[in-house]
Amino acid sequence: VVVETDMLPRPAEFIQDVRRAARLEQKPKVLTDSSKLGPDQIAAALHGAAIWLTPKIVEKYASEDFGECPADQQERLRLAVETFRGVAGEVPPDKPATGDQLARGLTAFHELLAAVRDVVLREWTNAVERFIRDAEGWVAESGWRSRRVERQVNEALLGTYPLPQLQVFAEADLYVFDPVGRFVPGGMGAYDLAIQPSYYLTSLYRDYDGRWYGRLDVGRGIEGAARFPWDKEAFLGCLRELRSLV
Amino acid sequence: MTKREFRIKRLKAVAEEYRAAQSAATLLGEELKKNPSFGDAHGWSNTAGKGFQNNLEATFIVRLYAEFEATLRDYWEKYRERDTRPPMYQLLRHAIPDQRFRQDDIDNADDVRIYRNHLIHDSEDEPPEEIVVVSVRDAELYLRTYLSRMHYDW
Repeated sequence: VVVETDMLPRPAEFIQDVRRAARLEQKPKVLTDSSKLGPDQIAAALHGAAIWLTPKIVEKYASEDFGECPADQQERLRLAVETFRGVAGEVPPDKPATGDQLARGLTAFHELLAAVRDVVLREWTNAVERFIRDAEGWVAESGWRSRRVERQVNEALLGTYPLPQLQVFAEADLYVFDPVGRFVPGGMGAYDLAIQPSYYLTSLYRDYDGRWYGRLDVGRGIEGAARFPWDKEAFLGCLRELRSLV
Repeated sequence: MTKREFRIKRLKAVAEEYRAAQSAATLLGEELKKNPSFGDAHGWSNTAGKGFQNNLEATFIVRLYAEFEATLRDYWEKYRERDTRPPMYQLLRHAIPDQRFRQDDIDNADDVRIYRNHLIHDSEDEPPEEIVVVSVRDAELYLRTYLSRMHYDW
């Protein structure tokens, strides 16, 4: 599966750009872990590594792409983008930021990260809630039991946040829906569905159209792993297939 | 043992060798303090001894990455049955990962690739701004995590 960023829908591109910048901004912290660098080099890196301070990060932002968010989130995001664009625009492309620009840029950047984080997290956790609730419904209709367990997930931009793991007790077997994360290549979030204990799993992911899909590649190699829409029939089919492998 | 497990085990073994080499470097440092010409009797200079100590981390980053690259190339040729040889950037970021990979895990492994390239090609320079300096401990963790998302039945 080859995923090029220029294939992404515009809002996804904006979010990816902000996410990449969030990683860049965190880099000096990584540098301090190295025994190869002295304090002077670390200070220079902290000052010079403001490569996130550029209006390019918010180039793909369009307010209408976030029309489904609550009004207060939309307004916060719009303001954060405008403020950041203003500060970042002051820095000449061929010169490093001044101390004052860096300080104001950092404040604006952190507000931008917080605003984007809230938008992404709200949308993602709502999508997961619907996804898990569907699975719980199918489990109950089949006369089986399920249990939710809270898992902590850590991702760039989003930080550490809870997502549900769903354990399904189907007759003598245990199946687990395990969160992978919101940021995956070619999608807007993924879960693993595995029969335990084993290596066998189905990859479930949310495409940019907001719908969930499955890819049951067990025993077929990746080339045989065609995707299918995620619904009750697909869910029951996956359980059967996973069961047949152990 | 699956091939994935085998390859992860090899990464772990290299990281363990690094820890052994760190201990050896400490002992060597103590010996050189007592006897600066200690290397003469063994065919190496004091400068080489210091170089060994200073470059230890970089040496093992290169070794860890070599294991990782060999793994990805093997996966591509044998499991995916491709006779092409894409650049590592393509292989690591686009050709191998699917939606079972976390983007963070891809980016972390790519940080190791970029840092290793810097060590190989520009080891006299300080890392450019966009390079994350990665410790051996983190490199092992990042590369191992990446491999753990590859198909189990490879």
